[in-house]
Amino acid sequence: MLGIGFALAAAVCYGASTVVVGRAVKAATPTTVALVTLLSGAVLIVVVSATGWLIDPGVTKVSLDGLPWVVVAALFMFVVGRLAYYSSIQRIGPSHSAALSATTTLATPLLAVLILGNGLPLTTWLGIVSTFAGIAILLSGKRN
Amino acid sequence: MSRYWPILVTVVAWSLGPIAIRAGLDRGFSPLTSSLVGTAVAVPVFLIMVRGAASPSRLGFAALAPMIVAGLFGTGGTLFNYLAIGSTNVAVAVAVANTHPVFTALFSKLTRSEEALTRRTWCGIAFVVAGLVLVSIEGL
Repeated sequence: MLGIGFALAAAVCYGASTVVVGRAVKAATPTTVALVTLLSGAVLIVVVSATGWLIDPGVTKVSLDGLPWVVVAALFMFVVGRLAYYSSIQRIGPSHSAALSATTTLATPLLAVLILGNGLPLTTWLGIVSTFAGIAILLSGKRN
Repeated sequence: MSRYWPILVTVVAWSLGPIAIRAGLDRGFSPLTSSLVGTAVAVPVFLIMVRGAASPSRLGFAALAPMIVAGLFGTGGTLFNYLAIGSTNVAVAVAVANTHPVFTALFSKLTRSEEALTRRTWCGIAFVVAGLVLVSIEGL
C-alpha cells in the first residue's frame, strides 16, 4: 500500500505541476519557465540528496562510465523534453498535454514488438488500442 | 496539426531519455545524482537560451512564484516516483503514476483554468489513462 501511496502522490504532484506551468507560460516563455522550474527543483534535489547522503552515502553514487549516458539523458529529458512539453502546454493546454505526454509509456511495448519481434498479451494490446483511441478523441476536439 | 508538434517532440524525447537513464544507472549512478548531474547539464543550456528579454531576472515575484512552485511539484513527483518504484511492483507504480492526466484535468477545473474541459476531453483522458493502466499492469 505504501508504494501505491507514493505513486499516487507522484501523480498528484505531476498533475499540479502541469497546471501551474499552464499559468506560468502565460507570463513568460517556455524557455524561461523551464529554467526557473529546473532551478527550484534542483534546490529540492540538493536538500534530499544531502539528507540521503548523511543517512546512507550510497544514495549519491556516481561513475565515470555512466556519466556520458547521464548527460545524454539530461539533454533528452531536461532540455528537449521539458522545453517541448512546456511549449505544448502553452499551445494546447495542460490537460491535453498531460494526457498525450503520458503515452511515452507505450514506447517500451511497441519497441519490443517492432524491434525485438516480441508478442504482447491481449491486455497490453487492449491498452494500446484504448490509449490511441483516447489520443484520437483528444486530437479531434477543438481547443479553446 | 502544427500546434501538436511540441507534444510529439516531448513523447519522442521522454521515450528515449529513460533508455539513457537506465544505461547510466546500470553503470553506477544513483537516481538522485543522475538528476543532479542532469540539472547541472541543463541549466547552462537554458541560461544561454534565455539571455536578454527572456531572462527571469526581468520578471517580478508574481510571475516567478508559479514557476518555482511548479518546479517543486515536478521534482517532488519524480522523487515520489522513485520511492514508489522502490516500494512496490514497478508495473503497479507506473500504472498508478500514469493517472496524472486525471489530476491535471481535475486541478485545471478546480483552479478555473481557461483550458476548455469538454466531455470529449474527459472521454479522451479516460481512454488514455485506462489504456496506460492496462499496458502497465501486464507486468504484475
